[in-house]
Amino acid sequence: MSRLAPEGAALSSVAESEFALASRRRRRLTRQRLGHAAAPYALLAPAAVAIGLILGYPMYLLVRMSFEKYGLFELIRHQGRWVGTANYAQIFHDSEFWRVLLRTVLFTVVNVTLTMVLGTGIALLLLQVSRWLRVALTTGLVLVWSVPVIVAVDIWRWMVDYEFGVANWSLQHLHVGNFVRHDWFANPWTGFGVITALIVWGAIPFITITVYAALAQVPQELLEAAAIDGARPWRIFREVTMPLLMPIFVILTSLSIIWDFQVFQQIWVMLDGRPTSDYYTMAIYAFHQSFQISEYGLGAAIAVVMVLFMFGATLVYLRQMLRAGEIR
Amino acid sequence: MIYRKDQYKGAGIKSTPKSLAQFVADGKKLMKKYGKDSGYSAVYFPGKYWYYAMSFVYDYGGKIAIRSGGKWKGTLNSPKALAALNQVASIAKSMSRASKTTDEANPQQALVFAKGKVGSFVGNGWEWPYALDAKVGNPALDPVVGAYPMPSHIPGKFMPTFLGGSDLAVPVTTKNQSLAVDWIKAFTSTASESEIAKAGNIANTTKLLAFNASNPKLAPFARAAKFSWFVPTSPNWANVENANVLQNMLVKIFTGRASVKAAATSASSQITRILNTGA
Repeated sequence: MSRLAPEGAALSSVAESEFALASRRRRRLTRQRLGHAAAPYALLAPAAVAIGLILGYPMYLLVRMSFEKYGLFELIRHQGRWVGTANYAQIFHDSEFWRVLLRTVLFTVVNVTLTMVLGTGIALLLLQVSRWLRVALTTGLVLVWSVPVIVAVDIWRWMVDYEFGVANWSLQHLHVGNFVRHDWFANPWTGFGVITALIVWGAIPFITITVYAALAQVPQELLEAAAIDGARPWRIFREVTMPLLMPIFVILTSLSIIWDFQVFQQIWVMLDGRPTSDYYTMAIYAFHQSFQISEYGLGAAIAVVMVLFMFGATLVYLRQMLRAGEIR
Repeated sequence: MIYRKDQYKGAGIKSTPKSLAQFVADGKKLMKKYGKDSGYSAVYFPGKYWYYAMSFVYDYGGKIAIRSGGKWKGTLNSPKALAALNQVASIAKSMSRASKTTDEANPQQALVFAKGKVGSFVGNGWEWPYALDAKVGNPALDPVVGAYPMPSHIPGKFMPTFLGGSDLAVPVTTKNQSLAVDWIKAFTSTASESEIAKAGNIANTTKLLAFNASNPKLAPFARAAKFSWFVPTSPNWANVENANVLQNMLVKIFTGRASVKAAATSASSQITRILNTGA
């Protein structure tokens, strides 16, 4: 709108008076227009500089390191040795890398799906329950959200502890099976089950509270109209609520993908900083290569692949969703 | 081995074992007598306790890695090492209810021992008093706790134990190199180390072990310390430890997710690769 206004003004001025005046005014207007055009960039500049310094430069260093042989000796010399794409060739030929990538993708899909479905479900539930229950639920959610990650992981770790954990004790007393000294992490599937429960538990509050806030914005008339037309609740949700909340869902899902794909602390702390290779996700694998076995070049290459992968996944997803939005 | 004298007696064990075979037989007796309690371990052996597992390997004449022609080679899949690891797997399976995925320090094995459901565990000298600590342990166990050196598979001999820990080094960048060297000389001198030995610690040379021969709570450890093994002396060894290669291998063996041979072969090739990087 603001870009159209001066143009309209210029047109009318040409129509109304002499050439000289008009041209002088146009020059002034052009300058003004330039100023208008430059303003957004000027406003963006500080942020761009900040991003360039704190994100761009380290990214450049990371990418450069991914093309270098950078081990303990190079670390002491502060000087990597250029090896071209050798690091990438090595990780792409490493079966461990592909296993880790597949595991991470699967882990992300499961965690994001569970988080989104349960989070939205609880948000819808909040609309239905009585006022005091809503307050109680919301308080609980906020409390979960406010627990620092490391504290949360430690609490969960104690709960599933092999010797003294309350999870084993309770399951034993409920006669579900033999859980005396049950080792949740002996089998990676149950181990990841515990980690998934922890992550989903920690992520639900944010999703629920955001979706609940968005639900409050859905016009009541639309829902009533759909109900009068005879639509059932599930159909109303799918055909009326979902499309209206789509932008929120896109953002929440993208954020969740980014969070869950790079999950680190939960696994790291839960397994005492020494996870066996069955528990490597991309972030742990990159950390392991870099800081545990001092192959910083390889670690950097894995990190770069991870960034590209996440960027690609989020981009494809966003584009698809925007297109879907345009058709409607 | 730090052990429960009362439980050994209760299981009909007359004297502490003098060979690995006898150790295994005693463990079976303990399991028979007390093992009905599903939390009881005759020998507490958590899955990532690689120091103990590697003692078996060195006792059987195996090694973690050997160096020949300037190249390192992981040798955990050698016949001797495999025999040792099979013995480890069998002991862990039949006599230990420790977690297969944790190590000796999480939870502290001495404190698990203090809870009363452990017949014996491999520990350092300090872990004996720690188990009896009034705050975190159980002082009531004092009269029934003892220690003996872990026996070798060769009767009458002791199994080598891991001796190692902190290293002293002079940074290249320090301004006072000669002072630092002097300090290390003074600290590691026989006079200083004698004081350390008198205070109840393992000194830096077997010559000083005699200091603790008369102390009943330290003598077994001093005797065991005469036979020790050490990790491969490569600057890359830290990377093998940090990569958890040995812990991964043991967890796979203990949980049965891989055969002893498959796990050892995979660990050996990882060790070969890591030790030879940058060399």
